Amino acid sequence: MKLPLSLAICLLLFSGCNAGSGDGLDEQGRPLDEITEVPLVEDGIQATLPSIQDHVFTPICSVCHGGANPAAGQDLSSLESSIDNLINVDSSNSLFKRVLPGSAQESYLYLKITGDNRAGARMPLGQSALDEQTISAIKQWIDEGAVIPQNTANMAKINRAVVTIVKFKENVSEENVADFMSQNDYIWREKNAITIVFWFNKAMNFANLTNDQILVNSFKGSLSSVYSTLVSNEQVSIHVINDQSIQVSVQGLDRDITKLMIRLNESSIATMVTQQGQIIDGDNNGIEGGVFYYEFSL
Amino acid sequence: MNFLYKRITAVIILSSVIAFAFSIAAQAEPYLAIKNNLACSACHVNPIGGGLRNDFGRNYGQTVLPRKTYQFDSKTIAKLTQFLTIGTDARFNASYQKSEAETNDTSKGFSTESAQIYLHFSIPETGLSFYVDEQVAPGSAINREAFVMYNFAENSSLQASYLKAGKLFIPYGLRIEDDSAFIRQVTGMNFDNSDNGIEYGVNFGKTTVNLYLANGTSQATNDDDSLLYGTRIEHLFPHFRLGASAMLNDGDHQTKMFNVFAGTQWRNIGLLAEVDYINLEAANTFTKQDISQQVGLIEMNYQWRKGWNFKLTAEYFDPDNDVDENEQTRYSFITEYTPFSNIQLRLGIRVKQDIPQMPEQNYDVIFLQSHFYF
Repeated sequence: MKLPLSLAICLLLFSGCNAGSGDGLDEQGRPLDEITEVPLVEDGIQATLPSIQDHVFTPICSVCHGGANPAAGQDLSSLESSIDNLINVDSSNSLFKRVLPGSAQESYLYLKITGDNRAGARMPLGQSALDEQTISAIKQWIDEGAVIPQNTANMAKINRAVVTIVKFKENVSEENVADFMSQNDYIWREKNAITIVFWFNKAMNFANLTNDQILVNSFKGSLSSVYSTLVSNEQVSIHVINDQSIQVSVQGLDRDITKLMIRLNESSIATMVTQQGQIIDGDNNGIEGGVFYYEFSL
Repeated sequence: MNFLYKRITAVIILSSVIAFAFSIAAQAEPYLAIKNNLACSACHVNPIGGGLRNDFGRNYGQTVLPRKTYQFDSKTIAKLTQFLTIGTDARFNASYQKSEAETNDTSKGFSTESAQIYLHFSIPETGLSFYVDEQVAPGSAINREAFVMYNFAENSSLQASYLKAGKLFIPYGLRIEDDSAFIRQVTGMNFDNSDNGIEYGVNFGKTTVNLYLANGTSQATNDDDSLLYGTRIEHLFPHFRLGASAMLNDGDHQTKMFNVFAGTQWRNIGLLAEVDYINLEAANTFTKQDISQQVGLIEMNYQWRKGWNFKLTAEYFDPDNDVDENEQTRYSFITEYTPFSNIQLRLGIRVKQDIPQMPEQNYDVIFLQSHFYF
């Protein structure tokens, strides 16, 4: 075999393939007759998961995070798999969740797309960084609680519970609550109240939610002798923030308690349902129903 | 102890200075194995290739690969003690990319692609060793591999075989260095995707067989009751090699992958190729039917003269065999120049083509890489 002939054969092989023309396919590369969802009417990306899926996850991320063996075990090729693989899932950095609902700055996804040094190589790997509008939309979606569409098969859940307010002295502003809590938890004991926000992943029906459906236990004592008391429902108040979040305040607590435990979705009392009537998966076992427990140590 | 500390410090400083002063190279380069008709284990501590080089691999990178050779005792540097060996790879890029996206269509700049430190702790005369592949940059450290390996004695009934357990890269097809290649990216069998499991490998002279069992969930812990099973077989003929891989990732939706790969060398020209078939069970969300995919790569290397290699690759990816006109292609031309021992420069252009509806995936990229290896 002569060298020129060898080269010619190789080059012939090399030039034999072309990319598809895309005829008859949608923007995701799927046949047009497979479209099941109403096409998006907006031109730009919106701070919703379907929009982020269509504009970012499917066309860009799923090139690696999809298919037979998704990079980092993180499949982003469909709305359902993105939900399962992002929200409240541990990242490769043990300090972060991939998406921590309510806090983009604590979400590995956001750190990855912004090139934060704590998250290693910036994504999308080897490609142009995402534009500011796209990054802002993802940030907003996370900061607003990483809400998912009603019509997905994924379970309705409580995405996150966050202690937001501890009653404090008048000269401390609410903006400083995080620092205030870490440095001055004793002040909590002076005012004897706590407020917690619960974030749901789907739009909920809070119309029938009453304070007697939220069970609060307070704990006293040390490890050797702990005992709990059920807090009267008169001490519990609920404020509906929006369709995806509620604020629960517990007041008049004893000063010497060491822990609070809050239970939601107790089936013997009342279950919590989405606007489409789906019961939340409180115990996160993939089946509707189950009690959601939240504990807060003091 | 002080002597050990000085050696470690010297290696780290040497790695850092060279890598970052000059600016990606040969972590796993099957074309070199094909050129020399050798198994991956000829150059690497890890029997399936990549990562830490053994004495032969280090010497090859120091004296055979580069244009100019520096004479130093690499074994003395790498072997911190008779039990502990260290190695590194560091890649730094300068790149310019332009896509067909309407906005944000260009990007350019410098980046540290990756830097790894390898450690191999072996207990002499026992066949037992511990291997770590730690990515130390960019960002925080990420463990890529950490496994215990037992090499069975060659004179035992389990001739030239080994058993690995821990976090490891799955042996599948050609382990080319370019993780963005379709055969690496689509199969997920790349340097960004290790798994937890066990692997058994045996060498029957010219034939190598690998069998493995893993979680099948990449870096995560196992989230189902199922596992990933697979095998890779490779045979070295006198003038070419031929191999095949098969993998089943069990679970609610099974993934099956098969491939055949081959390589040959004729004079200064090395050719290698791989074809993959992937079946994703019930992956079509509309019809709930399986999706079948095909991936292919042809690579030609022309070793012009000592220190110089020209690489031409063509890649093909069909993301769904039942759908027409959705294929993707990627072509690359790369000049690899190894001016002197332990540093390689790569100047390349890649042309990625996808369907017009995916403007972000239609792009050209020009890059200059420097790769420090030891």
